[in-house]
Amino acid sequence: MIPDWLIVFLVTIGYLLLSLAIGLASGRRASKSTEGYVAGDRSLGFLVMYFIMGASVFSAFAFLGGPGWAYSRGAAAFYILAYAAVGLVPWYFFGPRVAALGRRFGYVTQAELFAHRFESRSIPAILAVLSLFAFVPYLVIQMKGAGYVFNVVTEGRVPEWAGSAIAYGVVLFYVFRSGVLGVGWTNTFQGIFMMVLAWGLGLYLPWKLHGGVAPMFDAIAAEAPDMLRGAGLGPDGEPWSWGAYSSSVAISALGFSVWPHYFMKIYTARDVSVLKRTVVFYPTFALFLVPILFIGFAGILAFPGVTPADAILPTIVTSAEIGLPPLVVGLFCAGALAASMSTGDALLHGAGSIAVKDFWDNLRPGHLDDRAQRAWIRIMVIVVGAVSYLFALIPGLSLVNLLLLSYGFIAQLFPLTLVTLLWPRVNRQGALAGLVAGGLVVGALNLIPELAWGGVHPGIYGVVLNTLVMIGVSLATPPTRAEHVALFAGRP
Amino acid sequence: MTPTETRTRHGASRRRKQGGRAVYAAIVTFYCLLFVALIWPVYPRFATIEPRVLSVPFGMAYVVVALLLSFFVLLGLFLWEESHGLNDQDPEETE
Repeated sequence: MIPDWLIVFLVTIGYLLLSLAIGLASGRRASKSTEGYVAGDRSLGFLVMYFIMGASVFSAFAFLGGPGWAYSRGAAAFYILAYAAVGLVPWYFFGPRVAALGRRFGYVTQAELFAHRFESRSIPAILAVLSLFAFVPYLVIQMKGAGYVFNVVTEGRVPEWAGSAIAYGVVLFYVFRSGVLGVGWTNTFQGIFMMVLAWGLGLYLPWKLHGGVAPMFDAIAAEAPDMLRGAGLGPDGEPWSWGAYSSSVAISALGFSVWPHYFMKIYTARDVSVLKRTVVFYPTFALFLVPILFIGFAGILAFPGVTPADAILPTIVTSAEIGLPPLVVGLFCAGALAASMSTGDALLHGAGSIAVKDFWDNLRPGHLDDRAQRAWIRIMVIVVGAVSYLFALIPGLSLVNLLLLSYGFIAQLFPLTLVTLLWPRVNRQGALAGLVAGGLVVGALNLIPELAWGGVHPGIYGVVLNTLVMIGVSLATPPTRAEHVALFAGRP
Repeated sequence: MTPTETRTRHGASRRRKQGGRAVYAAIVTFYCLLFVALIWPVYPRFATIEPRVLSVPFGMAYVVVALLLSFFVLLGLFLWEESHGLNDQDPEETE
């Protein structure tokens, strides 16, 4: 008889092969140019755009970390839903103009817009370095998540390092071959799969463990009411401060619409209508976080003391008490892998594109022709993947701190994006000074957290100072030529 | 076209433009308020367990309703723009 772990393993491998087949097949439609590889020839329709953005919700952080937060910190986890409600809305207003400028001037990355607007080579180079620093911890988390899933499903037979290597070997292969179209179509497949799985498990597990969602919340309200009240609990198990909760919502909402690897997907949309529909329907994808959080709440009383908290979902799914058939456990593992891979692929693709377009080609313009750029983007995809993998092998690396740090830096792009499109008076000196001031504040407050009053996220202080400095320096220095500015600023 | 007809047409176009601006101003104001409703000092007033809504704690239902509101309001704006043909053109051309 086939042992259970082998069935689970085979289902997971089958899923990986299917993802690979979809990823490779979809890339055949793109042209062989850099624009084809990075922006999908600006041809993506609503379905694929919807799932590319939806995959941002279902990262390994949401799929494993979401239940982990609900399990260990209760109502604090609602902040994920809160920022998803408003996070992508700015795209609705500035997205069409950014897409139109991209089409007109041939941009495929975020920094190309800023480079052109501010006639600056240093701004995109700074942004490229910043983006790569922000991407690596994010990628490491996804890789660790994939390795962890393999390790659990094979009952320790496949070590975490090998699990990460298998899953990300597949991702690298289809990103390398197919570019953004491979990312888009695999995310569509993986997104549908995750939706079904999230609702299935999110309603089944509370029913199995507590007799339903209502009895589950009744029991938690009676035995651990602090988990459902206020801002939930902080990392220390004490009630979380409202300053920390609110600033987490704010920094995530501000940062969300300007993460470079998502921002550059604006250029992939076929037309304005596709782009706007993607933003409109985004909250419907975020709704799938509701059952994900139910899973974490289901574990609070039924499985006390699970550490780390992020292990609560695999712990419940593989427990004898639940008694799920190995086929379903295999599908769950495939879903967790999907969550990790569908975020990781966009990051790898974005990192490769940014390293070549915004750093190399920007500092040495004309050095690489289109064909060479495409080749180097592919090489950089592998290099960034390899570097992240090496970090993933380091045990005990505090990724949460790195990720928080990167969110603080990325959010500094939000004021820059708004003023680029809305305020003609902003100039290169102002933009640079604002970015540097915001970045320094974020860095300093991360090094000395005691200075951040009320537990407020350092990124918020950075955004405020960044905006003030940007406005102040721009007004104190000569304006940019009016005919150049007229190309960008105006009503979005 | 007579001067009167030209004036009438320009007047209608101006009124449409002003009406459009009012819609966008209202939508942007709505999203600013929605954002404030999800953080301190507004959200703490609603982050309670009771009354339960469809069996989930009120604080959670409140955030889910905000998510749904965000969807429906933007959907309304999108449909309004579609009916006025505003999504057919490149924003560069509408200036």
